[in-house]
Parts: sequence; C-alpha cells; structure tokens
Amino acid sequence: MRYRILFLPLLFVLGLLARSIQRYEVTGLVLTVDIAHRTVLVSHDPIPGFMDAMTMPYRVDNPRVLDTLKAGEKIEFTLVVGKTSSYITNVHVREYDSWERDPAQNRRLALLDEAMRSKAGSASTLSIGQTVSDFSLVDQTNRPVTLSEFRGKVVAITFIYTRCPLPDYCMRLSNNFAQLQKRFNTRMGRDLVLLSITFDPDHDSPDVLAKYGETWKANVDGWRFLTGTLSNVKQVCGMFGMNFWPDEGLLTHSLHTAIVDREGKLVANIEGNQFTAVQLGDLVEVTLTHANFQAGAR
Amino acid sequence: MGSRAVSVRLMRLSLAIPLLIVLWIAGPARSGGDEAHALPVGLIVTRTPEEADKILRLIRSGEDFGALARQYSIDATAKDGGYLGTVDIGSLRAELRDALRGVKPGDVTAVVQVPAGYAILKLLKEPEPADPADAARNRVLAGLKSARLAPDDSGFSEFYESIRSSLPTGPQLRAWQMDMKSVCATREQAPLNGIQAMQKLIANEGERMDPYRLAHSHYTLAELWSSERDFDGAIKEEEATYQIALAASNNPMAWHMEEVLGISYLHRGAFVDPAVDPVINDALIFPAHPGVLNTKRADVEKAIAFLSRGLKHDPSNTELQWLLNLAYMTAGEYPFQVPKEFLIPPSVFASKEDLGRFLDVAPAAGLATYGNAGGVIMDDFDNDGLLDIITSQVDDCAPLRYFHNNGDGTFTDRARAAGLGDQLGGLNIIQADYNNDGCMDMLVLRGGWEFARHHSLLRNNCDGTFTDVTAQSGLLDGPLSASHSAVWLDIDNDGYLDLFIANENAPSQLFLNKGDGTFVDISHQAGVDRSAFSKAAVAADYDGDGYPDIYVSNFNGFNFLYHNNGDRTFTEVARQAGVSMPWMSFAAWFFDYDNDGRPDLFVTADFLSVEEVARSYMGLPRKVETLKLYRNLGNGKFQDVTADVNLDRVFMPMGANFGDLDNDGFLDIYLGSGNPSFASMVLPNVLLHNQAGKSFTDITASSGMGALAKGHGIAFGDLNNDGDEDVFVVMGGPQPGDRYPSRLFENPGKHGNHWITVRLVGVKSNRCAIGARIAVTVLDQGQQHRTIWRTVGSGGSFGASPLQQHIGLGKPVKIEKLEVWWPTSKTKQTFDNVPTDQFLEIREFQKSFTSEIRRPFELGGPARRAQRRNASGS
Repeated sequence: MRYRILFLPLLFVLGLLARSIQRYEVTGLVLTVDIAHRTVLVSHDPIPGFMDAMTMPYRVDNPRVLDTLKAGEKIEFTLVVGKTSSYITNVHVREYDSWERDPAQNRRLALLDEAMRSKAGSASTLSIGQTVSDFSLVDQTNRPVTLSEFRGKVVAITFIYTRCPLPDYCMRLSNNFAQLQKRFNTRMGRDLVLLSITFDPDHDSPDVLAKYGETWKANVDGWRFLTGTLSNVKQVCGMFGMNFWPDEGLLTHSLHTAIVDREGKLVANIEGNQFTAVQLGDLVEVTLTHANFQAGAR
Repeated sequence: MGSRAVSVRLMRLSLAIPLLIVLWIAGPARSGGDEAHALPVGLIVTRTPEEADKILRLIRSGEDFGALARQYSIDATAKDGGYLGTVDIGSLRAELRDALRGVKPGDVTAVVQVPAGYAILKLLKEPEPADPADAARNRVLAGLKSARLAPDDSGFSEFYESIRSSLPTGPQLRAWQMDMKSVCATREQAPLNGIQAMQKLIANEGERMDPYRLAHSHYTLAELWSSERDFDGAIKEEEATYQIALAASNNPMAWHMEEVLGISYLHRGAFVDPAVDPVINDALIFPAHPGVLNTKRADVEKAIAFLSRGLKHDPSNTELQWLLNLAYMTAGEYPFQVPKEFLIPPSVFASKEDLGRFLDVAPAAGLATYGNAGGVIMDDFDNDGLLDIITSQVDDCAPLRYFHNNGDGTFTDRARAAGLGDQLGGLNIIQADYNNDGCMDMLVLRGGWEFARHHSLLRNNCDGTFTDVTAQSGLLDGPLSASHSAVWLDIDNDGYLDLFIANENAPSQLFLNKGDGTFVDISHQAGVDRSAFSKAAVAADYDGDGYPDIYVSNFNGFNFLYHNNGDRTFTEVARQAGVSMPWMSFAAWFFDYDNDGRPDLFVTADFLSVEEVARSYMGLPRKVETLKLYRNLGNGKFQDVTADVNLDRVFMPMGANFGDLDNDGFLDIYLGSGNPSFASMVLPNVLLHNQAGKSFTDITASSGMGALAKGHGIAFGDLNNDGDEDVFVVMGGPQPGDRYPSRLFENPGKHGNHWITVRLVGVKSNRCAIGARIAVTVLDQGQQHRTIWRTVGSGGSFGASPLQQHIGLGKPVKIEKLEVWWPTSKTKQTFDNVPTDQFLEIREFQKSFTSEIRRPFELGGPARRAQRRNASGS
C-alpha cells in the first residue's frame, strides 16, 4: 500500500540543493496538527516546478497559527525553502476554488435561518475531539446500524441524496468514498467503515439506496448507505453542521465529510468539496495509523 | 465502442436489481459476455403446471404476453409485463437454454419446470426500450457536469426560506394551509422579518465577522431586498458584497458579484419600469424592442461595464455574452457597439419565415394587469359565445381575476361580483364542466414549487357566480400536497369527469367523480399513486382502446405513462412505450402534430442554465436535454422524432401551449421562458411554427411574440371571433420582485387560410365533451384529401385553452366531411355539407348541427380607434 508521508529531513536536503531561497504557493488538506513540534501534516496539491502531490509535515513560522488550524481544513500557504531550513508562512484557510463548486446558496440560507431564529451558531454541532453521540439508522439491506457497533474501527461519514443531479456535490462525495473503498480494499469493514447518510429519507428508502450503492459498486459490509426517519436523519446531520433545504424539486445543502476515530471521537469534519479523494484517503490513513500507534503504545 | 460497453453494463445492472427470482435462472457455469447470444427475453412464472398450461394456450390463441405476465406471473418482472431484459442466453440454466433452442423471435417456449415454479419464456423481437432509458438518464447526468446554472440574484430562495421558517408546525400547519388569508399574511410578513433579522445580524456582529461571512451576509440581504422589489437596496448590498470580496482578494466571489451586478443593473435599467403604453405594449419584445419604455441609460452602461469585466475573466461564458448583447440592445447600440469578439450577430435570432406581426394589445383590452407567475383559462364561462379569461397568481395575496369579454375588444374584471374575489393564490387553474350542468367550472391548484396549500374547486352556478365547493367535494380528504398540474378526464367513460392531480414529492391523486358532485380518491387501487416531483399531468387515449391514458412529467426523475386498463386501474408503461425522458421534464401535452390521427406527445426539459440556452441559439454543442417530441407509432409505442423535426434545441420553458396560428391545420408551439433567476429574464418566449408536420421553425423574431421576462400560463383562442387564435400569456416570476403585465398577442391573420370552430355538447358523454375526437376531411385545391384531427381538451399542462376546438383548414375547396367520436356512447357522427369560417355546435346523437357566423371585432377596440384618430389628427 502506498504511504506518502515523507519525513522532515528531506526538506532540509531539498533546501541544501537550492541555490537560494525559493518560495512556492501551496494548497492542501490538513491531516494533523502537532503543536509540540510546530508542524502541520498536509496532503498537498502538486507544487509546479518543485514536487508532486504528497503528504508532508511542514514547520510553521508562526506557531500561533496552529491554534486555529484543524484536521480536514483546506489551507493555502507559502512554502519557503531556504539553504538550511524550510518553513511555511501566510497560512490561511481556503474557502473555495471557484464559485460554481461552492454551495453558496446553502451558506446564505444558513445565515438567514440563524438570523431569523436569532441563535448564535448551531449549538449541537460537534467540535473536533468530541465523542460522536450514538445514532441508529437502517442500511441499504435493511439492517439496523448504530454508530457504536463500529467502536474500534475508523468511520468515515458523508451525506448525500440519490436524486442529487449536480456532479460536484453528492456525486463527488460518493466518488470519494468509492476511491476510499478501492484504496483500503483489504481493510473495508474490518478496520474502516464508510457511512453515506441520505438527507432525503422520504425518497431514499433502503431499496433506492441499494440501487444507488450498486452504481458505486459498494461492498455492503464496508460501505453502508443509511436512511431513517426525517427527524433521526436531521439529528445526525445536526451533529456535523449538515444543512439542507427543499429547493424547487431539488435540495439545497451543505457538504460534509467526517472522520471518526476508533474511540468514536470526531477527528475531522471537512466542509465542502475542495479536496481530492487522495487527500481524504491520506486523512483516513493517518487516522488508522495514529489510532493503531496509540493502541500499541498502551 | 465505449458507449456500447457502458450501455451493456447498465443493462446488466438494471437487470440485476428488480429480479428476485432471476437467481435461479442463471446456471452455475456462466459464460462470458458473448454479445451474439444476448437476446431480449420475456418471462412468466406460475406456481402450478396447470396455470402455466392455461397461460400457454392463451398466448397461442393470440393474447398479449405482457398483459398475461402482469396478470398472472409471480415473478418480480410481472410489473414490467414479464420483460426480463436482454439476456445472455449462455448464462441461463441448462433447462431454459434447451427450451429456448429453436425458438424464433416472437415465439414462446413450452412450459419449463424451475425451482420457483413453472416458467414460459418468450423470445422478443426487439429489446424493450427500458435499457435505453437508463442509458439516456446517465447521459443526461453526465452532461450536467459542466453545465452552468443561472446565478442567484432574484432572492427567490431566501424569500421562500423566510416563509418556510415562519410556518406553523404540527396540527396548526393544516389550519394554516386551509386559510389563504393566513398564508397571505405569512407571505407578506416573513420576508420583511428576514430583512430585519439580517440587518440586525450585520449591525451586531458584522464587525466581528470574517470577510467571507460578512460578504455572504450582505449578499443574503441583497437577495431579500431584491425579492421584495427594492432593487436600490439590493444593488447597494450587492456592491457591498463585491467590495468586501475585492478587499479580501476573494476572486471567485468578486467575479460572481460582477455577474450579479451586471444582471442587477440591466434589470433595474431596462426591465422593471412598470410604465406601459396604454394601447399596445411593445416593450420587452425580443429582439425588436428589448427594453422598457424608459430605459435608464446609466444603469445599462454600468451593466455593460460589469458584464464586460466578467467576460474578460471568462471569455467563453455565453450567458454573460448573451446578457451583454441584450444590454447593448436596450441601449440602442446593438449590433454596432458590441465588441466584435462578443457580438452575437442578428442572424442568430432572425426568423426564416414571417406570419405577420402579433401585437400585444393587452393594455387596450384591459388585460395588462401586473402580477406574478400564474395560470390562465380562456373559455366561455357565461355561455354568451365569447371567450372570457380567468387568471391566477402564485402570490397568496392575489385574488383570481375574471375578465369578462365585453364583445367590443375590452374586458371587465368581474371577479368580485362572481364571488371569486376571495380566491387567493394558485399557480395554475384548469376548467371543466364536472357536474354536467352546461356551465364551465374550475379548479385552482396551489403550492407548486413551494409547499402544500389547499386546492379549490369552484362550481359555476350558471348565473355569473361561482361557489367554492371544495370542502363538500371530497377533494380535501387525505393529506394536502403541493401541485400545479392536474387533468380532467373520464377514466371509466361513465359520463362524469374524473380528476387526476400530479403532486410534488407526494403520490399522485386520482379522484373518481361519483356523479353527485362528490369525488372519491381511488389513487392507490387504480395504481397511479407513484410519487415524484411532478410537473405536468395530461391525458389522451394514445392507443385507441377507447379509454383515456395519463402522462405525468417529472422533474429529476423518469416520466410516467399510465395506460388505462379499462377497469379503473392503470399500468405504468413509460419505458415500454419509450417516453420516460426528459430526466428534467416540465410542461407536456398530447397533440397530433402530423395529423395522422394518433395523439403524439410533446415534453419540455427544464435545466436552469441560461448559458445552455444561449449555446443552443448560437449553434454550439449542448450539454443538457432538449425539448422532446414523441411520435405515436400506433402500436402502443412512440418514436423520438425530436431531431427530425428540428426541436432538438435547449430552452427554459415553463408555461407552454399549442394552437394553429396560421390556420394551416398544423399545431404550433409557444413556450413561456425563464426561471426564478433574473439572468433568465433575457430569454424570450419562443414561437415554433409547425411546417406541415415535418418540422418546426422558430419565428419568435418575426412574430413579435418574443416577450422577455418570465412566461407562465399560456392559452390560445379566438377572443374576437375573427377566425384566428390569439394568445394570452401570464408573465412574471414567483416573488414580489418579479411582477410583469400579462400579454395578449392579437393574431394578424395574414395567412388567408380557412377555419371552423366546433363546440361539442355531450349528452351521454360528459357534457363539455373532454376526450371526444373530431376529424375534418377537406378537399384541397390540389384535389387532395387531407384530414385534420383534434381531441377536446384544454391543451398543455400549464395554461388552459378553450374546450371549443378552433380548427385551421388551410385553403380547401370544401369540407368533405366532419366526424365526431363520443367516448361514453361510443357513437360516431358524420356530417357533410359543413360550411367553413363559422362556429358549429354539435350535440351528441343529433343528426344535424347548428352553425353561426359571429360578429368579429377588434381587440382593444375603443382605445385603438382613439389612437388611430389621434394619429391621423396630428
């Protein structure tokens, strides 16, 4: 299996090769934040003229920036490669790449709801590190599914509706999971579980989800498509800040992909669609490895 | 090759899903995909050998395999008429393989014992078109990948969300849905609450917000102002959003706001001024006069600047290009001032044919009332021989308007006197004489695209007034659903019109007319209670078996064709008939476009991309679905002839209808265009002229019927008894910021063709004769006979034309005969010596008809005469 984390010394080597200080604009997905070592592990996009897409830990120039960074955030930053050291600077969270791919209408409706209900933020949305409350839904083969039954495994959760016609929305999130299923083929169901939860439960019955799952060649043991009553589904959505509204026959919705570790704690809650399946896979891999490491250390 | 591999895979996939018993069919030794042995197969399975033998005898005596499968088979394929799909024969169990040996296409096997029972297989002559539907859907979804949606700028979503978040919950919801005054109050108050809330949010938290959130807050507020028709407020907030995005170097948002501001300035400058000429409304007609009467130059210049900026970032964006050309048009600088690289030349819009210019005489006629999206019925509600007009609006605060035809070219709103003044809202309305008393009643459909509110059945008391009989009619039994399409039809030919309502994300409803003024919901027993986001319900007896069938178009789903089994049940056969697409359907109707005596089917596709419409006009490759025309082949199947008749074009139709504008006997199409976004205001309504059933020609430009802004309910009818059909169209979008005056296009009648208008009166059949068929055979000047076919109905799914049938005849020497088929009595009348250019009334069973030459008059008469006097006096 491919594991693409390079280690810090390589950067120094790269730096030594460089004749003078080089600066590169980089985007990538945050995998872990290591405050003690002043580094952030990033699965980054290709850096033209310097290196391919890969996973690297980077030292930040200003350690305070690490306090605000979270796993699963898409960031952009400047990589400075000097003769003896390298670091990153100008780190900030990237909102989106292009307007069309951003669920902007959902952001406006969420703001309006918030303003009209005069509540400050959604209190029920989980923070990173919190334990995800247990929930019970039904999968595409009509089996009841509770989150707690996956304790000891890493769980990736995303939200879809099968009638979603926009390729950059649900289809993209489902495609990400299809890629995860491929990459972690041998660990599916045993070590890693994928949950695709519909937010259109009135339409997306288990049968409909089974059909949808087949189009993605989902292995029913490792990749479960979940439905339930509207109120149950809403409750689960609420934990992850997942919003949806009926909209002229379709649904306007936000996009969330969450990673839950072996202890049932929320590792990351990625909003949007501005990451690649490989980057999501790297995040899963880090979570799988990290948890293994902790378990071994105990 | 690649697409073939995909479709084969899809076929396998679609096979694998519905078949519960198929597992026993496949033997343990599967051979690979040898295409030569993949054949279309039908299947019937019974529990006992006796049953199987009986069915085999029935098949051999000529009974339909599919019907028997539906009735008797215990396999999951029963619902598909036993259709198993295209099956790799080599993969079947040995006994089935053996049984199929030597069987020719069209023949059946002997009875074969299998683990689940006793099977009969049929080798079909050709695959059912089920698999192509799946392939077509997947092509559509794949095509959407790069299609660009119209931007959000009209605030409809925010408007609607403010209302939705103010809805009562629990048992109070139904009471609210039943009380239109409460619904109106919410619709008026909630968006204002939303504006206040957003203002408060920005005032209290704006300074602490990050630029991204702050920009979105201003954008949200802009949308709400826009929805409430405060375009100054909207532009101010859009500019604020733009400046924040620029300051934060947020290019995607800044560029998006440039597009939005370009549209907003164009809208304020050239689209929203309500001043209308008091006689002829020549404003907002594409391409002749695209702007309003008093186009605001400064706004249009700003629009040009923003749109040009947008095109600099994205030169291939045809939506911006179309908007830019429109902006130059409204400034009077098209085509010469348009930068050459962005010019859409006039040849792109030019009509290849001219039937004369239709003038919008609505102001002179007293019909140019401002309003939102809505429905229209054109029919004679007081039996005075003149067509009246009733309009509705989606606005829950707007009452029905009942425009009585005064017979002098003017109309007077009698809604209040008729007891219709309290009937608020309704996106669509349809008429029928459901109680057979000789006076036209109507149904108001509410909730379309939004949320459920109750419908209203309004009984015509035959004295100029209407009574709301919804409560006692039985139509309110069960849950309330949102709808804007329904159809009256007599499903069991008992002489009483039944009602089919297509709902949004809820089961369709079929109400059986009990004949005593009440209805009973038989949706489930009848097998028509499928749930989808349905947009159209229309009916016709497409297979000529004497019972009307129902077609339902769905948005984001396959369409349904419910075949009437003649016993108050229906079977869904859209796939087998080949009519399940478009995937994103809207308006639909049956009409006999080629006069071969068989009802054909027209369905519009509605993907909300101005860019794709512009690309279609400009002849660039399209990514989304086109209109669809299905030709009825007469064997229960339809053929997609869209491309053959030049209808393979992308529009954004909403309301739509058909009629014969040049009296050549062939039915033309008029499409009302748009969607809630203001970007779509620049798309004209579209007139497509039927060329003898061979092709359709776009004559929008030459006809003057290219109304800009949003087109909804459309009706065709001869309002002034001059022998040609005029066209009424309700203009406007869903929210207060998108109101426009209705339009009445007067037919210039420059074709020199003849006509008759036939009003049928049923005696045993339903009195308003819905479903009765008329055939007029004429001898033309070339001594050729031809027959023109009509079926009584109100036409398309969004807008209701009169039930009296206006029939263009071309230039005949004479009418050879006129035939009428009546659905309940199953009788036929044949008349010779029928005069042309007259009104006929034909009663069921009567040997003769009555005819009448009605006095023609000029639409908008007095005002237009005054205008002429002034013109000649000056």
